Amino acid sequence: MPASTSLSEFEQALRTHLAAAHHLARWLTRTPADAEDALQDAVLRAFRSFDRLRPVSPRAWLLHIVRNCCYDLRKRRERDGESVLEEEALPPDAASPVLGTPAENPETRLLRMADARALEGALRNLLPEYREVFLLREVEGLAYKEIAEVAGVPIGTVMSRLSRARAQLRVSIVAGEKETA
Amino acid sequence: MTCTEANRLIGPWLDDELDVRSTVELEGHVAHCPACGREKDELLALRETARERLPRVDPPPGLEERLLRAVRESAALPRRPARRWLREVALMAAAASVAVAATSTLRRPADPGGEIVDAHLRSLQAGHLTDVTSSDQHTVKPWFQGKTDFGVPVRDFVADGFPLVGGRLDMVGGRPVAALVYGRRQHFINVFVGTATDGDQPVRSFSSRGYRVSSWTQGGLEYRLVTDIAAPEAERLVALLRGAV
Repeated sequence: MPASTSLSEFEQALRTHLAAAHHLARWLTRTPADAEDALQDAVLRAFRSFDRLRPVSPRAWLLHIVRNCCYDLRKRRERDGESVLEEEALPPDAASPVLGTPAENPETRLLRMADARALEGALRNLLPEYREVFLLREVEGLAYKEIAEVAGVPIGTVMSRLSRARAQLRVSIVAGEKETA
Repeated sequence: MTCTEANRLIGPWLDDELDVRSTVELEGHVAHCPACGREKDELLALRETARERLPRVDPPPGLEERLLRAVRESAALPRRPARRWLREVALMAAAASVAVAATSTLRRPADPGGEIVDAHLRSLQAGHLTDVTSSDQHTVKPWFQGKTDFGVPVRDFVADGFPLVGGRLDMVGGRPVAALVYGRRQHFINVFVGTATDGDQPVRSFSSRGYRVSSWTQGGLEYRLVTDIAAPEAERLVALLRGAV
């Protein structure tokens, strides 16, 4: 049983990283209610091992547990036959963006001007394994090493997933914006 | 440096993850290669859009307090060893269930990860869900008479999407309890009921091993509901059971 000091240390860590943890849970589950359920499950799991592990990076450690709880919940929902509306599988080899003519660069402008809805839709269409590395890198600002801890994969895998995620997002944002233009 | 090599390194470069030597080489290449310069611009534009425009969903008000309360409650309780076979049963169970149990002498209304979820998982095994299988409350209610030392309130909520499936006697914490089973789409819901030692208590909810447990005391009975359906749906059933709807 953790002593009260570790309880207050844990509470401190939770308060500090709650926003990031909640944000990640929202992106890895389908509904706000599922995000909250996964988060609560994660927090209790985290607390049970906090005293034993004394994580060096509480942020990466907490996000790792949150992530796993989100995946567990997703699996359970799928097993229960609930439809999963989001997420089309990435093609096995997402095309690298074409290195086109240097003079004109409408794609850069489209990417810069893309609205929140376009980006959100493109992100939801990524596999969660790709979505999470992009969010952890670009929004949370985590280093590759920390992302590797959160996702539980080697750094090389983080790099290839991040590269795929970016390529896929660019393709779908540019295609979407051209369509609506 | 070729464009293929450069293309692979631009992402890590913008992420500050590239070693010094490769950085120098890459910067030299990008300065003279419009195609790779454009690659860099596009990645930066994507980053800018993500950081500036992606909606930041703040945690709902009260979430932090709810989580901290759940942690403090779990810190105050003795831990139980993980019961592996129950997890396996849970994995095999095709149906999820919600159990509302009113138990007569349980002194801890909140028991994260404890017996109530075990009882719920046990009920998912084939043939263990109900002793009396009927959607008719007038069949289920009399079935409990003589088997419990308290009257079991039994109501069907089929009109609200929670049809009564049946009931059974169960053991929680070594005490006999009445369990009512409701359905929700492919999910089953168990409700455990027994006499309370305290007066009326408001609803308290927490998650344990992915299941949501809601407990409250009302009219001399203690109720416990265990489910893996979404929280708002579980709250709806709690409200129906409490007669608040």
